[in-house]
Amino acid sequence: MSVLTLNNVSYKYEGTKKNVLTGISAAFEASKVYAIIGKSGSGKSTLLSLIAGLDVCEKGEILLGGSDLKKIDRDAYRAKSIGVIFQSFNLITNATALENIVLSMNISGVKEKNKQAIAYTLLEKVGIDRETADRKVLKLSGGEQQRVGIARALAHNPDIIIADEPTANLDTDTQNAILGILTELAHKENKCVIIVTHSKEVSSAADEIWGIQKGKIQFVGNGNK
Amino acid sequence: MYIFTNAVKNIVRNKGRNSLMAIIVFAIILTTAVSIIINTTTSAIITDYKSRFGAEVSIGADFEKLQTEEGVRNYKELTPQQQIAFGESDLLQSTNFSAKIDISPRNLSSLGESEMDNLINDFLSGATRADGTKNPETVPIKGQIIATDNPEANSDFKSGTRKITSGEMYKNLNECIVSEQYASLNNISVGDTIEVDSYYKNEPMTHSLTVTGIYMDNTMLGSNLDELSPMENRNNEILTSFETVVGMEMFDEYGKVSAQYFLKDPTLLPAFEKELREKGLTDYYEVTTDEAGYKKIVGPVEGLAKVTNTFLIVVLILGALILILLSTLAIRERKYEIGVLRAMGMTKGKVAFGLLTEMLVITGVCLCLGLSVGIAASQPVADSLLANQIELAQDSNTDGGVPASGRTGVGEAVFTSSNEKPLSELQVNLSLEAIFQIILIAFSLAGIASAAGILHTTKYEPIKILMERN
Ligand SMILES: Nc1ncnc2c1ncn2[C@@H]1O[C@H](COP(=O)(O)OP(=O)(O)O)[C@@H](O)[C@H]1O
Ligand SMILES: [Mg+2]
Repeated sequence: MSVLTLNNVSYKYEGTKKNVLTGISAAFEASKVYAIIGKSGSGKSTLLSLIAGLDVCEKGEILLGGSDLKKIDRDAYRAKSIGVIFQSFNLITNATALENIVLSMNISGVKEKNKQAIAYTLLEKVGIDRETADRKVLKLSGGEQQRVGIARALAHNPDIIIADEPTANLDTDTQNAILGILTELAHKENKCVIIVTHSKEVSSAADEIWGIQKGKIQFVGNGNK
Repeated sequence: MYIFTNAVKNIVRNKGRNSLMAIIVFAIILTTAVSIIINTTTSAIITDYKSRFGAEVSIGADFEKLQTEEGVRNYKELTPQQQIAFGESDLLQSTNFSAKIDISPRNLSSLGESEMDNLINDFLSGATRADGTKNPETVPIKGQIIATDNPEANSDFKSGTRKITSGEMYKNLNECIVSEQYASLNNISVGDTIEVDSYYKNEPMTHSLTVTGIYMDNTMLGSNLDELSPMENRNNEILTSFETVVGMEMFDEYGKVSAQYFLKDPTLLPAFEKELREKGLTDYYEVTTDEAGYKKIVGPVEGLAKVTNTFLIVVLILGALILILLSTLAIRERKYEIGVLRAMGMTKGKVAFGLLTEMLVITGVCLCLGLSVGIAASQPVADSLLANQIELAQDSNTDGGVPASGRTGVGEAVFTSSNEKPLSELQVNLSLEAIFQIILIAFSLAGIASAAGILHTTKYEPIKILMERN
């Protein structure tokens, strides 16, 4: 049973003529890691935005379980069901790393009282120590910001995790650590993990690899594992 | 709750932008507070003025109408009965009546009597007038009865120009007081009864008065009393109550009344005039309140109120424009933040609420500061305003602008309203209503300042907001 189903999804940006996505159909299941590959500008980030519920597609439908994203409360969907790791991080830059995580947990309605402690632990897991966690995002390196973004996506324990080139700014060691976390979440905690990537290591760690070209998506093959 | 905490944190995170906002909001609130205080003060001054002078009615001859021949023929002086009748009105807050009767007591001597008086009298008594009628046959006038309806308001005794030196002030009907000099000249002491007579030669009217007190008149102290005629010498004045005078037979013939009418409110003038016309006041009289005097004193105060009002409006509009500009500029920065919050799943409503909360907190702080400074400044501001007003009032009083102009009749002024003390102290407190107004204005500003962000939040999907930045 697939968690996310895309049926004939087409999309073009407001004020433009050309469709970025033209009739995409795909299904994503729980407990699996998906890698989406494609040339720059092929529409990978756009697809993730639609899956993230940041906008709705013009034609076709994206189904969460059985319900159309167009029709459900997409705020709640973003807050609770999905965790997004943005290519450009999208953190509150003049707040600290920790504040970013706690704020996200608050928005998601996380019930635990010790949100700060949970946030520190989570940040530590992605390689951000306490001192760094208390620094403003503005004063973090690109790689550190990326890790804060990852921690934030995981903070509310969502069922679906989507990541837009999450390892682009990371060294090999950190990249492997993050990859380890993401695959573990899929395989041990039954999350559906979708990663847009250029990295061979990442795609080879995925259960399925999909390629985007000229607005179409197609199955490329299974990862090496 | 976290939205509030986040809003407060956000204020601190964006210190620069928010202090600029705060300064502008503070300036606006302070200006508003001071303006409202000035308004309350000036309206208090105006109200006070109205209650003291503004409502005094003047009934005077309409000189334009008297220019015509017809006017000259039909014009009649107001009779004392008319003047008294005019005072019986629900529209009036108070009236002051005084009366004067020229007398010539047969059994009493007057100060300053001389042969000259007899000569002049002989010349006038029984003489033929221009229209053929004859003057009545009279004896020389030797003094006056002066009556007031309210001895308390008698300015001579209030100011100390006259003082009771023995006995007491007249109280009951047919009681009077006389001067020390008059008493010693005629051998009168307290408790005596005197007879006063009209100045008709034949069948004079007579009235008995009981002397209850003797007064001393300071104004006569320096003068050479020998040179004064009986009419000029104030010591010849027999003082009594208006009630007593009205009951005297000779009053109907020789009484002259001076009346002051005070309306409850200046706006009642047309209604009062209508009453007067119904009571028989002819068109040859006009009924007015002393507007020139009113304008002279109230004008500058009202002018000041107008200036502050204009100033307030300018500050409000300018301030609102600056706030809108500032928040529109800030929205570029905020847009990204709004996009991030929306991407994390915060609802439009909560984002808007957060933005509003930020502005409300800033406004709240400014409101406390602005109100405190405003309240602290209110008394000095009001005091200096009042001091100005008093100066103006005194200037116009020496010009003879305001007082006593409302008196009707030809009687000598026994008292004048100008002697009333002007308002010298004014306790200003920022009324609850004023505070409410200021709060309303402050929060309207907060609304304006956060409107740009809120509009943006509710208008766009998060992807749009994020994309514009990335
Ligand atoms: N906000 C936007 N408005 C118009 N066109 C856009 C916008 N964002 C991206 N595009 C276009 O859509 C296409 C796909 O972009 P994107 O999804 O970011 O590609 P990828 O992530 O695969 O590099 C590109 O041609 C890009 O120019
Ligand atoms: Mg991309």
